[in-house]
Amino acid sequence: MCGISGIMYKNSRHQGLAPVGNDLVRMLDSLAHRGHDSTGYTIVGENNDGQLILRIWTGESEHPDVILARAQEAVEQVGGVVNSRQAWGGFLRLNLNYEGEIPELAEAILQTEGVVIHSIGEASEVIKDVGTASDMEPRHQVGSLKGTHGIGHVRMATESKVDITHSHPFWAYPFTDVTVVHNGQLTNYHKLKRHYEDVGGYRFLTDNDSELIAVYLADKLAQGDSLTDALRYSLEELDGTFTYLVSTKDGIGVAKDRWAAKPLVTMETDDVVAVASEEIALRSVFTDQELDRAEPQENEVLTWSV
Amino acid sequence: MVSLDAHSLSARELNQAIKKAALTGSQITILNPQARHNIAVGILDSCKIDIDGSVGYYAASLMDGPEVNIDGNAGWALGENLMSGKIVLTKDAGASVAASMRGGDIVVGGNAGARAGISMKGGTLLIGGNAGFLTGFMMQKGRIVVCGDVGDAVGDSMYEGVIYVGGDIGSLGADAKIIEPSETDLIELWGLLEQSGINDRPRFRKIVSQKKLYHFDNLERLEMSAV
Amino acid sequence: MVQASSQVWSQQIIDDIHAKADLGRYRIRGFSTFQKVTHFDDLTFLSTGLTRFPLEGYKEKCSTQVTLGARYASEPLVLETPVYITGMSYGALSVSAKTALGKAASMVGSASCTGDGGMLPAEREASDKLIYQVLPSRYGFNPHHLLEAQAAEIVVGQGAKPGTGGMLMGVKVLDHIAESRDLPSGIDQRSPARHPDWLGPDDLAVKIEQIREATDGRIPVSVKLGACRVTDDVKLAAKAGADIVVVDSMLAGTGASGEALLDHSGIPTVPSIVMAREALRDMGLYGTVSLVASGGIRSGADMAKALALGADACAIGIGALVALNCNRDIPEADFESEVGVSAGQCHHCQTGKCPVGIATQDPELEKRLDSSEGADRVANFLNSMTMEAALLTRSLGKGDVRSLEPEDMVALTIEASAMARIPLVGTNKVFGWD
Repeated sequence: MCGISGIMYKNSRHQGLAPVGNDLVRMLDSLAHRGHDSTGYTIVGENNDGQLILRIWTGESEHPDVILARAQEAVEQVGGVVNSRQAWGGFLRLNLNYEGEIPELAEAILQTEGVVIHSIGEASEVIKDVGTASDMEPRHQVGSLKGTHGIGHVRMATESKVDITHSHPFWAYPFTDVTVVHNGQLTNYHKLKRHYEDVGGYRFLTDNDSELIAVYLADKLAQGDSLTDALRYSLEELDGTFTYLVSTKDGIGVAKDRWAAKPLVTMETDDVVAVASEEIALRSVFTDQELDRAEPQENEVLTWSV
Repeated sequence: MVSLDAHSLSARELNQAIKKAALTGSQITILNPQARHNIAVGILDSCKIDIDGSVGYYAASLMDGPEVNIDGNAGWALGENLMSGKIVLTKDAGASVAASMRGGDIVVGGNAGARAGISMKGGTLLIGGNAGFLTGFMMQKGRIVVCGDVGDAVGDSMYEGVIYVGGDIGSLGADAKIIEPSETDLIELWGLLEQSGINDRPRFRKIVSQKKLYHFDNLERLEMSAV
Repeated sequence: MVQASSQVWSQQIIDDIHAKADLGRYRIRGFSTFQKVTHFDDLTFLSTGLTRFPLEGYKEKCSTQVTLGARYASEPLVLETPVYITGMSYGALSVSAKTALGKAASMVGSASCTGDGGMLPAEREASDKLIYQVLPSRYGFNPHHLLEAQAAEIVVGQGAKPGTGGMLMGVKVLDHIAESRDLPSGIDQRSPARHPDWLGPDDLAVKIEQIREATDGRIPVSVKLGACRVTDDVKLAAKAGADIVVVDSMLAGTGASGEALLDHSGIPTVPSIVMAREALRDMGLYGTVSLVASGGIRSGADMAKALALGADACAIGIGALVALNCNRDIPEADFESEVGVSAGQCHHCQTGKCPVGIATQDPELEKRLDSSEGADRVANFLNSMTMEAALLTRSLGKGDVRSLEPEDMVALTIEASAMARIPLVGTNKVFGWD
């Protein structure tokens, strides 16, 4: 019901940023048959001189510039400084300096009328829209983005709505740089969501179960667990079917549930590792026909760092 | 001889230290109890415990075997569910002293609060001073001896226990009646007082159940035993 | 021609008044309420279709293990299936019955519970995990037995007769029962309604600490409530420090109760679970304080629904006794002549004339119950419950009964929707809750 993919250039931090955007567009394009309700990406670039990247969407508003102004004001009200901004219709990207607590910044923007937050990150940004990868490209030009790693998703909606807000990747409010794409359906979603709401400090921007995975992982990471451990715990604590990818500032992780109901294959060289729901996506970026793919088993966790 | 300063110990630490010492039948002294709850709970080995000060609720409760001396007051439920052993309190006990007691002896030098000896199932509760309202409520077996006065509703809904009162009786509880103790009863009681260092020798009155509430007045056919 | 008759002044009511005109007091009955109330039958599960992935009924693992009482206890109670056998007294039940129940619980990795008659040695021996009740009566209460228990349950009330204590008619208070309870033989025993040593939730907190001290904090301390003012009672029990709260609904069973209480006090199981769950959530303690639902749990389907509504586990009473042979027309029994009704219609536990040897102290009747065979029957029933719940859980795409959620169900009636706080099927509306 969905397709996922991810790619990481292992040495890109010292060898220079790689064409991650282009790779992901090709991979998701080849997976479009798995879902064309919406498509989304997380691109992780270089550490931005301590700046934060804020990606927001103004909904169906006729006046995105008005909302952009409001968002900027909100940032400034909590002590942030907007250094640059770009807009693609209702999709906005702000580069800002901010020294305070992320939850405060996130809350300020959340309270701003008309603004939907897609991500806040030191190096990552989420770009998502309705339609396929090809549908999205003219406007968003993800193919031109360079970075160290990234993940992507094509969606065939199951239980929650088809719209941009419910598309993957999900950013884990209020943790910077943690985003998730998920193929599957969690069956203890409501229980876990209530737990995080009751514990406090977590906000769910949607009622999509995939968002829960992002919050779950971010919570574990914030408590000091390694990414690998956090993924392992999730195998026990999440019920239902899932194969998901998580991107952090430093790398990518994969978790495959105990039922192995959702596909995932990987290909790896010395320089690059890529994962995807189907081999066809990997073949779109790896031209070496000799290279073979690997298939993670059920209950398996894999991680890679730049 | 083990000396424990309750001031620096949590209830758990205190009780565990007491239990450990009790295993070897030691003599244990507890200082600075500061009227805390749950001191000397669940001690099931014979030993001697001296508590130097007042205790809170449930002191020396759920015990089987020890001899406990408390120099001070006690909160509620002193000696609750005592199986065997002896508890001597120099001053006043709060409500429900000897609640559900099943054996052994509890001696209160001063007064006892309401519901003294409630639900007793055995043993002897001796109160040197007065006892409060509903003394001996739903008492099943055992013996309560009050040297002083007793409050209202004494012996309410008793089964087979016995309550001796040396002073005034506020009022009788449901199904209770006063009868004359026998001379043997009195001699035995005075002996008990002497052993406990109490100098009074009152002419006790004896309160027992009328046994009229033992049964429902009527039974349905099926509720009757087969003849 | 069939005569029309009054629904309000029914034949049953007329007979009842005649009986009371002879008796001069309230009537007493065993078993369960005769009231018809909204129950689990009015809720249904939404199993998988295309949106979720169903799990194979036999091969794919469904975890049924639950842990109760981990809030403060260093040795919480681990059950292999989310159901245990509730407290029913030795006195109300025969030794053979108590032994069979204990053994059955052991056979399935679950627990049984003592009752208003103290801890029976045969039961302690048969049951691997025994919950020791602390009742208002404290009949036979023994601190040594407390140390041998795997959990302690402070009984504030029971669903069948909330606000009162236990009851055992004189015909069942034979010498051995009387002795174990420190009572005169043959007495119509009416236990106290209140505990002797604590009177309110504030003292309950100290009582709970006392039990912990007596057991070195090892075992969970549970508080059992008759389901009436559930929200407030559950909050108070949690505040007082309970590790586990048991909410026992008006559908629960009893060996003997005044009928007025049995039929006219307490609330049904469905709303009691929801109210208890919300009370704990309100305090941020849902998932910390374990919640056990009891009263009217008749099958694994009922159990699955109770879990979906928010219970961590269930306790059964009548269900276990029925599996044991209650109301079964066994060859040795002659229901009509012995209790005046046919098998399947008997609710005469209070008479001590149980034709199958369960709720009796009569040695001749007790011979009709073989505790070993009885244990097999009850274990079979418990297994059937586990399998039913697992079957439903897997059909929902879940690999663990703890993943069951209210959103897995819809209500079939407006009343069920309101009581369970879940939507009426075919609508998006939860009735009665804004």
